[in-house]
Amino acid sequence: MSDFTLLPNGMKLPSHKQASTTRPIATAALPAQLQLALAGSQCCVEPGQRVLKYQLLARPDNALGLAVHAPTSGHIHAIAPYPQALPGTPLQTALLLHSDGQDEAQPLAPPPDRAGQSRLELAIFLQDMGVTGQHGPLLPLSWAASDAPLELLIINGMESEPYISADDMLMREQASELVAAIQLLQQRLRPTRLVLVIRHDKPAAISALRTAAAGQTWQIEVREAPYPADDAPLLTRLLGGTAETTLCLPVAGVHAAGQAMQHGLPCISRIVTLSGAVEHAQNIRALLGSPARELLALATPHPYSAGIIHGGGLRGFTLADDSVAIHQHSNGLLAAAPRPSSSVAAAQPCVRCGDCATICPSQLQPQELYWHCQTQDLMQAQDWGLTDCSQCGLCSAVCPSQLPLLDSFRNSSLQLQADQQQQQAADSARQRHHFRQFRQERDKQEKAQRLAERAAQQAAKLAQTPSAHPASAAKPEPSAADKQAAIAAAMARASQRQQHHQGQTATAATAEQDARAAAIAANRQAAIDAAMARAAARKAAQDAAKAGADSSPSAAGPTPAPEPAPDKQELIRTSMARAAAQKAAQAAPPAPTTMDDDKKALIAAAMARAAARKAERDDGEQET
Amino acid sequence: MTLTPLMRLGPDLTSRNRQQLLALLPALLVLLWQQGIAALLTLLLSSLCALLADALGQGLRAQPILPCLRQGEALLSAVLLTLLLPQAGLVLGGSVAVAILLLRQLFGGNGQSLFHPVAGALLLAALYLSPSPAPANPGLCLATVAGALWLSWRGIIRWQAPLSLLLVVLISLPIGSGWLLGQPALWLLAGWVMTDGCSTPVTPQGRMIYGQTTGMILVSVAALGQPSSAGLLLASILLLLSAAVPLLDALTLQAKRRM
Ligand code: SF4
Ligand code: SF4
Repeated sequence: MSDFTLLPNGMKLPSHKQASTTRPIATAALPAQLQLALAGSQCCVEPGQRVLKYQLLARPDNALGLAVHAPTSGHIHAIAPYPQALPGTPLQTALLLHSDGQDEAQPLAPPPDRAGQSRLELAIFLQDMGVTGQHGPLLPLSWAASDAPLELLIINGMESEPYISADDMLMREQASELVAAIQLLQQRLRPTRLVLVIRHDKPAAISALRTAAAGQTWQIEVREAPYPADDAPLLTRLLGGTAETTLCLPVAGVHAAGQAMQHGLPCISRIVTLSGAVEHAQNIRALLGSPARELLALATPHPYSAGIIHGGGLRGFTLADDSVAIHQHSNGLLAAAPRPSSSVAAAQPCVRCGDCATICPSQLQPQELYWHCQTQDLMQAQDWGLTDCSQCGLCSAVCPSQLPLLDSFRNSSLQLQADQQQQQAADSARQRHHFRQFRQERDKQEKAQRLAERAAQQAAKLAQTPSAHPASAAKPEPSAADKQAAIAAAMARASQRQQHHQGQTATAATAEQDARAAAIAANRQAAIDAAMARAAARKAAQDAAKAGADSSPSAAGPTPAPEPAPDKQELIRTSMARAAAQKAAQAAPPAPTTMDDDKKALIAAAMARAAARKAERDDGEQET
Repeated sequence: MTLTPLMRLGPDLTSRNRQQLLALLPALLVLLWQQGIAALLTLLLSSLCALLADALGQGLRAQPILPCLRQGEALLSAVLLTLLLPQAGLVLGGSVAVAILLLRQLFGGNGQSLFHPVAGALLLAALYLSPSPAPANPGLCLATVAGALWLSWRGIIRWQAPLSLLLVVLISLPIGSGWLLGQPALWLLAGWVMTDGCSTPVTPQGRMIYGQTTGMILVSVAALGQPSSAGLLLASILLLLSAAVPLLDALTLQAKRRM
């Protein structure tokens, strides 16, 4: 009985998860209509149009938006404001799709299958597949575009909120898919450490995952932590990561990302726990946009139940309108039991009992925070830690005066976010501009990589001819020679660094600095890039000549080009270095360049990335 | 519309007050057994006055009356005062009514008053009563302590202030504070008044300072001369220190602010 719970330390939170984990995940019937919110995305269909399952309905139009795909086939009925399953059920523009019952799918585009996909490319791909994380796309674009190292990747399977068992059931039933998804993310994101962390109260999921993940190089960690153990900042701290170098991804999002990366499946459904005052508590896989009431009806709510709670037992909120549709974050729908009449009394003033402060896992003073949130004093609220509040709802649940603390904090943080966005909107195009920049950067990276790969192949072919004379190597059309020079330079520099690294560890730091400077420079305008590329080629030619002269066989390190046998590599390097030196000598006077600036810039970028990767790897080695 | 959470992890105000009343039951039984019908009459009278005064106050402020009475704050004050001054009868009824009107309702009801009505009523009643030294009452003390321990085990009352007070009293046993321990008023005020959030600091540190300061003033006055009533003395100190609560709060909360 919650009434006999000791509040301060020995508190045990009832989990209420048991009921919904006795049945396998069911699949909800096709609803007659679906309502898909368009927050942060640009609609690309019209009312009246017939759409097929998986068809793109809206594309993201800012860095936080997500693509929307049709969960089933049907007709677009309307695009209008509808109440949303958010606190306070606000009206937001949404797409109303009348399903035609045929569930006719369009063929799936095959996913881009390149292991060398950069993290920005991956992040944008997942955004286009509608895969959500905690806020916006699973991989935040701003993070993906930065060169912040990824030291710790946390796959968050804690799910500590009472009543909710959606992640638990997902991990039990889809363990192998999840493991495959994690493996793919590991390959693409290359974190120094990857941890799948599960709470101790899910033994079935733990054993399923342990079996599926046998032989994997990442760890499964079982942790016994109190609610709200699933809060990302708390979890990051728990696992010894720092906010800047850690990424914490929810298992549901990782699973969806795996489906997208493996099969090109856009995210059109999610698992929802149906529980509370119901007959048959269970989990269902429901299409995004399904009406909450219809879904909950599958679990047969008790006739006396009063309204629907969206979310779990502590963070959940009542839906003013139970016809609203579920969305990417709807992990649970609970039928609310009516309160005993004695406790229905309206909220009383704060009696300063201090229980909220005692229980707050973020060590805040909710009673003070509440005061400032109620008076709309957001500056003061921030001073009192509004942004540190994990919105766990514990304070609301213990407050004897039944003050709506959590609601107040949630509203105020939304307000704060809105204010901040408005400030940014002072230069209105900025968000969109950032977004375009992310996309352009991705395109640039892709192009650079294609060019680099092709050039490397050519260079390898050329170098394999044993009689390759310096003059004949320089003979091909000038732009190809330029590319070779650049690649040779990158390789030579890489090998030189390797030597330095073996000699003394201190150079790793300078190498990294070099790499970072190069990476930053690579992002600048094409003109500057071109100039730098020319200079780099010149310098590289000198380096390469040196490296060619005194490089030892042991210096052969991993390079971005395909790797022939060590002795051949040696040969290639020397011949290429010579070619590069000659070419550089020709290009030394500021004569009109034969190669267009853009390409040079791209090559510079490719070089920079190769160097950066090398440096990162070196760093990694150094740390382990 | 209020968005209530599905789960409640703590008792609400009504339940808290009921438990506080329940914890007074052993003491009340001991009192009735010791003093018989007189105490019962005082209890009835003071309860009636308290409820009437509270209802009047709510009515004057155009607030709902019944939910407030059901919540039991007024009744709790009345029972506490009966235990403190079992023989006061009419005087007690009058003072409890005035204290509730002035210190509770005038401040705006529940959770708003800085000064605890029980302490106020105690001072008020003292104006009309001839001072007579209160005898030690170990039975009543024990029953009270048992109730207070139960409350703090349940997490209904916070232990910082009473424990700090008690420690100071125990440390100063050599200078003659021992007689305080036999006074039921000490335990009643420590367990039920010093733990009320509205008239004490909200942070644990603040509560400790509050309890220690109370203890030191109490012990020094008690050691200087033997005052007739420990309850009266303690109540005055509590009222006095309540005025310092905002300051204590400001000082101890400052550290918790994120700048
Ligand atoms: S919701 Fe309440 S208890 Fe939870 S972190 Fe925020 S202030 Fe603290
Ligand atoms: S729990 Fe409620 S009544 Fe107690 S201090 Fe916090 S806000 Fe005030």
